Amino acid sequence: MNTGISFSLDEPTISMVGVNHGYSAADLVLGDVNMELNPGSFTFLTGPSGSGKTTLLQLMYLAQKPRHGRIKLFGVNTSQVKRKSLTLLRRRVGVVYQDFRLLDHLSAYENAALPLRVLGRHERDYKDDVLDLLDWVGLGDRAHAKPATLSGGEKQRVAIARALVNKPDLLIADEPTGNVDPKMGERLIRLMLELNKRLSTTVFIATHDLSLVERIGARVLHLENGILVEGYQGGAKIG
Amino acid sequence: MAKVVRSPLLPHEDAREAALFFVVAALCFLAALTALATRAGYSAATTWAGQVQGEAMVRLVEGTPEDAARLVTSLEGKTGIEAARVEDRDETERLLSPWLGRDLPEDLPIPVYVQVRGLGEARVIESSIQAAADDIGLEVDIDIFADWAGDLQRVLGIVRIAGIIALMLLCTIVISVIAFATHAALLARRDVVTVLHTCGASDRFISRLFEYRFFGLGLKAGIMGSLFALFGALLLFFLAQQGEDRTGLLPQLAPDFGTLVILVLTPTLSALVAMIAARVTVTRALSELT
Repeated sequence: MNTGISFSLDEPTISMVGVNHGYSAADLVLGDVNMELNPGSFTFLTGPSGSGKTTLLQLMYLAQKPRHGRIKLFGVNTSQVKRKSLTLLRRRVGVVYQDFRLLDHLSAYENAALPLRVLGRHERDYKDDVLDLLDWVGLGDRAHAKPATLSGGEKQRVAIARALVNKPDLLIADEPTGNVDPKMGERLIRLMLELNKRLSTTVFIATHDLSLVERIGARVLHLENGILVEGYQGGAKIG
Repeated sequence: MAKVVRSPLLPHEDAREAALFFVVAALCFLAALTALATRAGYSAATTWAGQVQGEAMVRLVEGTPEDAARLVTSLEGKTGIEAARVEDRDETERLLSPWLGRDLPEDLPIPVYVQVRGLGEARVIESSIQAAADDIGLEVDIDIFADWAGDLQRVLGIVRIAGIIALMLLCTIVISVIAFATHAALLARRDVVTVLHTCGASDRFISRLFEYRFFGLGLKAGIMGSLFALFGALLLFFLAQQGEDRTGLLPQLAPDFGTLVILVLTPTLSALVAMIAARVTVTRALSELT
């Protein structure tokens, strides 16, 4: 497919340089953020509520534009490409929301298949893959269920299936374990680790569950009052 | 899993859309009814004006039916005169019935009339009649309906302008209501739009979902409004014509091409307006989203 933009394999999956964001110049949510995520990396983002984690994620999956600074996604400067090209970039990113954001009128299967459907793919081409994916996240027998009948953990797994179904190069998850019990939370994170290892998907997870971060032992970025710093493990700030 | 059912990406119609459907159907009903009534009224008036134009009614100030027959003979071959005939007593009585009533006594003297049909300008017809009457020494009173025809033409112009203004106003209201409702529907389904957007749906893909939805709504509401307007117009014209012997001036609904155009055009325009309003509103809202 000719996308009209070129993607670089050598560039970081995402890079931010001098990114500021807020509702006004005097009320910045994020201040001078500089960061890079390398292809195939697994990174946690920690920080207290209101520290700007969700805003940072929104900038990463192109739901918002920064007030200042440069964001490069797959080597493409997002402020210099056309709106149509942003859609193409978005298709390479899978997003898991804290509140799931499943469409209530669609079944678990239809929710999971949504990214393929919006791409115009025929159902006969993806039906088996989606059912396999639902099976992989432990929802093989709940494919026909509507979100209203699913538990929090099941909804979260459908949301993860939806984020993964198009085999994204970057998976962004906002508090994916926030609405599930610790056991389910760990299971979901293990799913993402497996994805990271099997498909080399770059994974970026925002969480306030420091014990989980400690158990996994991956790279950690910490956000406090809109300032991003490298490293925060076991409650002790490093770097 | 037994069967996978493919649901529409936009949720099914809700109460808001049902209310919008009713509003659009009502507006389409008014628009179609206005168009039908304007057209029927205009068409009836045009027919009447056509009948009146070129007609002249000649009253013999003093004279008998025999004098009237002589006048008819005298009119033959005169410039601008196409035909002439003496109105018999029955026709004259019917003509005078609004003032004198029916079943007049046989011995009651009533005026003698000659009906003339002419071609060309009213003044030419009038002078030809006067010349023919002078030739045989008759004193006549000529009514060529020129004032009536002039008034009617002016009324026709006003009816046409009023109809067009009413239609334009109604169309503007339909567009505004649909645009407003589309915007409200989009806001109510912002969650769906956001999810689709994040899943990689293009702006065109999302706007098309709303376009199809509102095209269907506009079409269905338009068809309903159009049909109700047809029945409404038939009923109104039927009631208006009850109890009257003469219906020449009353509008009638003709099952012709023009009526068909109005009935087909109303839902088509309603659907197109709804679709375009949806497209513009959604595209604008999406550009604000990111």
